Formats: sequence, C-alpha cells, structure tokens
Amino acid sequence: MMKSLQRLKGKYAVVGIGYTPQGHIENRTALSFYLEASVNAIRDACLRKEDIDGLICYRHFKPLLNEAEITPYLLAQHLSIQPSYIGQEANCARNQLITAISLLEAGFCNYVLIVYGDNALSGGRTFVDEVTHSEHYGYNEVCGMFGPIAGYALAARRGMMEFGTGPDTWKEIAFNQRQWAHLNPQAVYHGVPLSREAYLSAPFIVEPFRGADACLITDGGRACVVTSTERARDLPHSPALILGIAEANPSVDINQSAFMAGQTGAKQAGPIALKMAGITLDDIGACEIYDCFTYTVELTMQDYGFYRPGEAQSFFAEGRTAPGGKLPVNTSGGLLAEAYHMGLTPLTEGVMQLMGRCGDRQLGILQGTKKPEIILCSDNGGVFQTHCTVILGRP
Amino acid sequence: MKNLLLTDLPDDYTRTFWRNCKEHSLTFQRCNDCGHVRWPLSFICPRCSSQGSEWVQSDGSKGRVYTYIVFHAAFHPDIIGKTPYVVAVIELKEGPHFLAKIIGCNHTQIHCNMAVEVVWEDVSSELSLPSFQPLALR
Repeated sequence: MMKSLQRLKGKYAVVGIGYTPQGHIENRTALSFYLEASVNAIRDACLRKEDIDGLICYRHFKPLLNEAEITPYLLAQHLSIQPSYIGQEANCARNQLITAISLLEAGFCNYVLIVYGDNALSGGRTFVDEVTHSEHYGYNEVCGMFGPIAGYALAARRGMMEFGTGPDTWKEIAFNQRQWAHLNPQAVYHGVPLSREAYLSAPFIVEPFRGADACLITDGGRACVVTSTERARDLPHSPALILGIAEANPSVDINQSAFMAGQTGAKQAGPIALKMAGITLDDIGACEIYDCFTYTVELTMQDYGFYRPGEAQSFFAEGRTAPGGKLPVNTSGGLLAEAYHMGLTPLTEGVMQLMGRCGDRQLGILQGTKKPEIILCSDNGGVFQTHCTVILGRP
Repeated sequence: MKNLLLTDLPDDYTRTFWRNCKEHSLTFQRCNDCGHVRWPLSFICPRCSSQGSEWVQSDGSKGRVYTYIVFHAAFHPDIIGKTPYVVAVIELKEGPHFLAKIIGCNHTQIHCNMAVEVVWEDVSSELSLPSFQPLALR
C-alpha cells in the first residue's frame, strides 16, 4: 500500500480558495455561504464553473431558519453545474480530500470542489444535539450529557489524570492562537483580547473546559479546488501540493473509548502521511491543526510525536506556537479564534500560507518567522472518532 | 427538544435493558461464543461477530470512575436549576465503559479511578436510571 501512496506524492494539489464574509452575518441562508464560497474558489483558481466535475460537501447539520436541507445537488442546481460526481459525508467522516484525490487518480474527475458553509451563529445553532451519538436515542440526554463539548471534556479529564495536562496547558494554546487572530482581519476574534489570566478566571462551562477552550460558532463558508499538479501549471496560483495524506478512524464512541488520552487517529495516520511525503516531523514548518477544542490540538500534536505525553505545557509555553515562535500553529487563529468551517479552516490556511497570500500573518514575512516549505494540516470528526492528516508543500 | 425521558425504544435488547433497570438490575449482553460482555447493546458481538448472547447482571458495586465532567451550564430546559452536576464514564468490573451520572456527593470530591457503586434513580413510572455514587462516601 505504501508504495502506491508514495507514487501519489505531490501528484495532486489545491489550486484555489474561496472565502466569504464570516462571523455574525445576518439574513443569510447556509446555502448562500456554500454558493459564495464555491464561486469564489472557482474564480480564485481561474476556472469556469463548468470545469468543476466533482463536488464534495462536508456534512451539514440540521437546517436552520426553516431553509431547505443542504445537499450537493441543491448546491449544483444553484450553481447550474452537472458534476460527474457529487458527494456529502454524513457523520463527520473527514474523507473529502482522499475522495477528491481518488476521483482524480481514477479519472472520474479533473477538478474537484470541496465546500462547507453554515449560518450557525445567526441561525442559533447550539451544538447541544449535534454531533453526539448516544448508545441509543435519548440515553445521553437522560444522563444530562449534551453536546460535543461534553465528549471532548470527558477525554480532556482523562488526559489530566493520565499525563498531567490541564488548564495551564490549554491556556497557552488558546492564548497563542488568539495572537494569530490579531494578525488576521477576517478572524472573528481579531482585536478581541485574551490574556492567560482572563482564560483562567473565566467560569467553567463543562469542567474542565471554559469558554476559551471551545471553537467559535460562526456564519460563513469556505471552499477549495483540487486538481492534478500537472493541470495546476495552467492556473494562476503556485499550487499547494498534497505531499502526504492518510486517514485513520478509531470510530469508537467517546462514551466507551479507551483513547481519551491517545492513541487517536493522528497516531496512526500521521506516520503514514509523513512516510508518503518522505519527510519527518523535523521538516514541518508550521501546523494547521483541527482545533474544535484546545485539548484536540494538544492530543493531536502529541500523537503526531511533537512532544511526549505531559510535555505540551512547556511545548506551547512562551509563545512557541504563536507569531514569532519556533513552530507556528493555527496561523489564522483556527477554529478557536478565526471561524468554524470544519476541516476547511485549517486546510485552507495551510494552502494560503504556502501560496504566500496571508497578509500580516504571512510566514516568512512576519518578523521572526521562516517561509514555510511544508505545512502539516489535520482534520478530525466526531469525538476523536475520525481523523485525516494532510501534508502540504510547495512545487 | 423533548423532555428527558426514554421512549420508543428501538428493539428487544433496549426494551429488556430498561425493563431490567426498572427492577434495579444493571444487565449486559454476554456473548454465548466468546464470553465478551458488551456495551452498547448490539445485535452482534463486537469481538467475534457472533449473534448469540445472554443477559448477565453487573456487580454494580465494583465500578471505577474512568473519567468525569461537571456541567456548570444547563443545556436543556429540564436541567435548569440542577447545575452543577456530574456525568462520568464508569469502568465496570465486567468490562463495559458505561456513561452515567454521579450523585450523592459534591463534585469536588470526585476523581478518576475512584471506586463507585450503582445507585438507582426512579425518574418516572417507566424509567429507573442507573447512576453511581462514590463507595467511600456511602
């Protein structure tokens, strides 16, 4: 298997990114954000919409504001395209990029659009009954167990016991990412201060998590276009090559899982992706880690092997992952401080950094940073149940 | 969102589990072929894929807190005024990791690996909920 994966190293690339207004954007359907992000990504790649022959949506939660259910064919209808392939994952499987590459490699598609959007903030999405799946319907609820924050908090508490992590580690992660958000005018928390003291003095929501441990709930959308590196030569942007990619899906519900303190999918997928890319962790110039919660960042990077269990506090201390630090992590502000677009928040930021299009936060231009050659991105779904590692590089 | 009651159970396994709970008996399926005690309830054994199983009663007095969280916010109208409360994953002697409330103590007294035992909460005429309390605080 490894040999065939290595054959795909750098063969496919991300060639365009689509943004939308994000944050609190009222009077907009989720579909409108899907559409705007899609059109912008297609334009950014200098393609025609008719070129898009693969359309892959992230999962969509229940529709808000009485709007229609988001489906890939609804999106295709509104874009007036007829892709050869349409797909949408249903339960946080983070398979979009591997699906895209597989379709391109097999020859079913030439240009695949991956997209997500939501009106979660103005629509009042609470994430109380999204994501979590109980033993049978209603069981979590009678136990008083609500929302993904509770599932990740269960994991975080076990991590506190097993390897001594805790709020003193998580405050560093939240603080560092907030510094990145201050360099990103599009970030929802741009200019919204967070001190370490303010983190620690905030009340618990689901102990051991406070508000600053949790990702944002936002309106907006994000999209990207994937094609072959060969086709990318005819397009305007220097493409972000997919050097390595792997999924691993532990799948077990958090209520029964034994991997609350690791091993997560990152432990399995990370080495496969690194080997496919032919690199080691030392070659990674920056990370864009799926950060639904602070502990997700800690455990994912721990399972990649950036530090040993329990060493995250000193690893993240003194701004090592903040602007000017040795290893930049979540340079847009991430899901914690930029905006929530599922795995497209970290992935598109990795792409934009390699393309050199990140303005004040651009690595290599920002003081104390180096121009990144290779960026590691991660995606994660359920409560540590699904995982994808993506290693991006320059041509 | 509906009230916090279990209704319209999907199959005989779930109905049997909750009927036994009503009798204050915490029961699990044990595989007839490999002996694995499983949770969640399932049509097949997750270890050997066998379909046959029998019900065994858990010795609910030999659980340990695998992990726990404290809800300081009320995420449902039925919960308002009931915070803070504790939800935990209990590692049972028989094997299953079982989500349940921890009651009968202050949340600051709880820690991982603490020994707990089942204590029944009669929630309604149909539902008795297996919750747990620390053995040391009995």
